Amino acid sequence: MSNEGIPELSNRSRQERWNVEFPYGWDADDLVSRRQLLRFAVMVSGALFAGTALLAGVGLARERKTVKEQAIISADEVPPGGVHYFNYPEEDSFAVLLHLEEGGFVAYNGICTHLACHVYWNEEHGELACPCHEGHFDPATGAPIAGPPNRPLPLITLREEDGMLYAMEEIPR
Amino acid sequence: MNEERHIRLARDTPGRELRRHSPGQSVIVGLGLAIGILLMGMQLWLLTLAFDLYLSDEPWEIVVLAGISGLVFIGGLLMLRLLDRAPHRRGR
Repeated sequence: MSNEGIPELSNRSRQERWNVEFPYGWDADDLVSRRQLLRFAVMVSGALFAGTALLAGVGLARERKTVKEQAIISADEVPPGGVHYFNYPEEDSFAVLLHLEEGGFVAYNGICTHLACHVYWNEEHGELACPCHEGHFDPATGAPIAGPPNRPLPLITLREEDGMLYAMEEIPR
Repeated sequence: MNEERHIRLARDTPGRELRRHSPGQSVIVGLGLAIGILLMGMQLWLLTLAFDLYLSDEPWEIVVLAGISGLVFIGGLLMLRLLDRAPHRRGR
């Protein structure tokens, strides 16, 4: 911008002329940017809080107990010491049915209570194991016996009728 | 260009020697920034912890984490409100 024709500028220093070209106070500019930064930080903080609260809400709203009768398998198809994996209570759920050596059937939700990996029957050691973080569960009770899990596997109650095993309900513990 | 307005603003703009923070102001601002970043880092950590607890199906512990995260957020809002109520000072 030319200063010609503006008598007031003719006697001014270079710094003063620059102030005319760029007429924004140094402090004012500084304050605005800080405040914008603070607003942005508070927005991020709010988003992080919203995410945590959402997880809490979804966790609380999740169904804790599922009652649903479903045929699993014929009892004589699983020999003592044998295992059968099935989907219960939903199609994409994962559950484990065990025929204990000492007799009797037990079934558990097959999702590890540590960080939700699938557990499997380790025949060599005679226990349910989670491969992700080396969690181990007692096959008779579903209780954790080693590794990071500290809660037992959810129990699935069973009913036997005419040689067929039925899952009745899943009970979180 | 609105030259008259610019000339007026130029008169109001202080010289370089006046455009300095008061003693200690930079330290206070830096300290506030560091505390803010630390608190947001803590919130991020709480969120990852909440994911862990969600996967291990412990919702009541997530509620506690959400409460702590909410307190940090409310603190930020209060700070913003406090600064918005303080007058903008120019050309000290």
